[in-house]
Amino acid sequence: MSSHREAPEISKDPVADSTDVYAFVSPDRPDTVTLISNYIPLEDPAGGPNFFEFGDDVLYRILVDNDGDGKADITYEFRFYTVVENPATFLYNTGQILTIDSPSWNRKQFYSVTRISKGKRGRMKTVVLGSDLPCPPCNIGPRSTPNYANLGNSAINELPGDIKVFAGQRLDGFYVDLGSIFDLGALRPFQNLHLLNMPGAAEGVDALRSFNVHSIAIQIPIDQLTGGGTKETDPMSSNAVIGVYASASRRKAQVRDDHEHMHQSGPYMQVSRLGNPLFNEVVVPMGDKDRWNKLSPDQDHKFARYVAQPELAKLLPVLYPGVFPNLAAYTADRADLLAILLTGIPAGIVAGFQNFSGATQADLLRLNVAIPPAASQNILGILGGDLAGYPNGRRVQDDVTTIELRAIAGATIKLVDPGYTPDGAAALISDGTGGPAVLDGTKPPTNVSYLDTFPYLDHPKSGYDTVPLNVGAL
Amino acid sequence: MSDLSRRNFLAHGATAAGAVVVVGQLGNGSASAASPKAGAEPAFFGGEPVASEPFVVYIRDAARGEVAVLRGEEEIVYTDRALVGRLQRAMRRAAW
Repeated sequence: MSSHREAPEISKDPVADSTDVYAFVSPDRPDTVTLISNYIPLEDPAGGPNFFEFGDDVLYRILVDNDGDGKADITYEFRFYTVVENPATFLYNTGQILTIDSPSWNRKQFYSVTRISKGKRGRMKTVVLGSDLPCPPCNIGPRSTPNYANLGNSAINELPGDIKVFAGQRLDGFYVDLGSIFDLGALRPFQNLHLLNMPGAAEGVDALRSFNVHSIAIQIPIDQLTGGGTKETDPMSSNAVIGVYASASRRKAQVRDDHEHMHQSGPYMQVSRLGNPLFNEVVVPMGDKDRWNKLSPDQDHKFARYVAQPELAKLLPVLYPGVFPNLAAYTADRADLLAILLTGIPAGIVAGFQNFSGATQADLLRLNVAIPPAASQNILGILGGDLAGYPNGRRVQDDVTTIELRAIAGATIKLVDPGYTPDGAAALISDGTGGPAVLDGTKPPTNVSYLDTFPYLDHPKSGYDTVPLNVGAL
Repeated sequence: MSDLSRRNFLAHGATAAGAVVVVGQLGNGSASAASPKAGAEPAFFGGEPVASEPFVVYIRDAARGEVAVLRGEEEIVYTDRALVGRLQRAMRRAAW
């Protein structure tokens, strides 16, 4: 998955597990950028009575590098606390939750937002943008949360500086055929070509279609994020590029005493991070995944060899015999992937575009804020001719699985090595979760929905209404 | 261990191999029990007791005598070979 359960250690700590990060120029407010970080993978909407929530003991961060050194220049910190209205009941809600402050909602969660940036003379400047901000409840069902849209929308908070923020449960906007991909790299549309082939091509199955996540979304005026402090309009300006990643951190020490108390102390230590989708998931090998999660992006030169010679590029010709002969013969370091994932794409590669942030190799979601939102979106992003999509940042609808599969399969080598001829399959390969529509990239998959306005990820599915995935197969 | 004072723990207590964890309270007059020798003393331990809140001490590197104190969101590392030595001797005496 993008980064759901992507490393051994964090897979056992869901509330700190960053699953997806998005960064894009807001389509309905193009003077702003929306940054979203999701946590808690694979939330079963029916997972009560203790429904999902952020960790009160986790420090969540969305970080922005705007000078290309791979280190955060601006950090947004999110800290949560939980209030139990009535500890004498086991119920999440004792009646209908009609408003976000309903006394029937027994377990409310609130949070603060703090901005940390470099001030004068290198000193860090800390500003609390908001505190005691309410999260919405989880979507329980038609009796408990009968008008969920109202509840969700009432948790959109306005902060000073023309900033909007939301933190709470959302429908997972990422789509991928996990069941097939992790079954020895099978892609259902091409499963008849697999080494262990199965008859006939099939549509992909979005394994996340019935799951929610917990999202932190913040919409910020562009001039509060760029290195120059202005709303850049020239895509070729170095100040037009920001690098984004998200993290989760836990206190260094946790001690359970003999009096039913738990003490936590010491600095926050990063336990999860995420920039480009699938980086730690499919590029970093098992033995280095936990280490990667603990490091800052400016240390990613230590992992560059995995990008230069990606394991998946070697597996594809083996798993699909005869389908990727040119990829199999290509032994040079993958300068295309090193640029896309670690430095950004320099000027002169894609007409009218760059998101190069300098020589420092860092896994960041690089967004050129001077590229306006697309009038007609293509979910294949730059591969589909849409400069406003991945890997220029990442929009909620972008088919990052297909984009990265095609890039790793060799579709982007030609950008940096004109002598290379991509295999025909490199332009077709997909996990097929969008059905036929994904083949031309013009439509998002039919089984995922989104909002047109902030926070763009749709309201979560309710426990009552969600039919478990395998019911149809029984 | 709940019936032991922190001072008693330091004098007679127990430790895991390679790392000692002490949960204590500052501000109750017991801070001096953990104070390193003069010269190695960081500001954290000097002067008036700090706020009364739990803190954790662990031996980061016994061979070097490095002790880390985790309090609030801070970590202060200092060297106190004598403290580390006392704890190691206590560990050896402990009937575990």
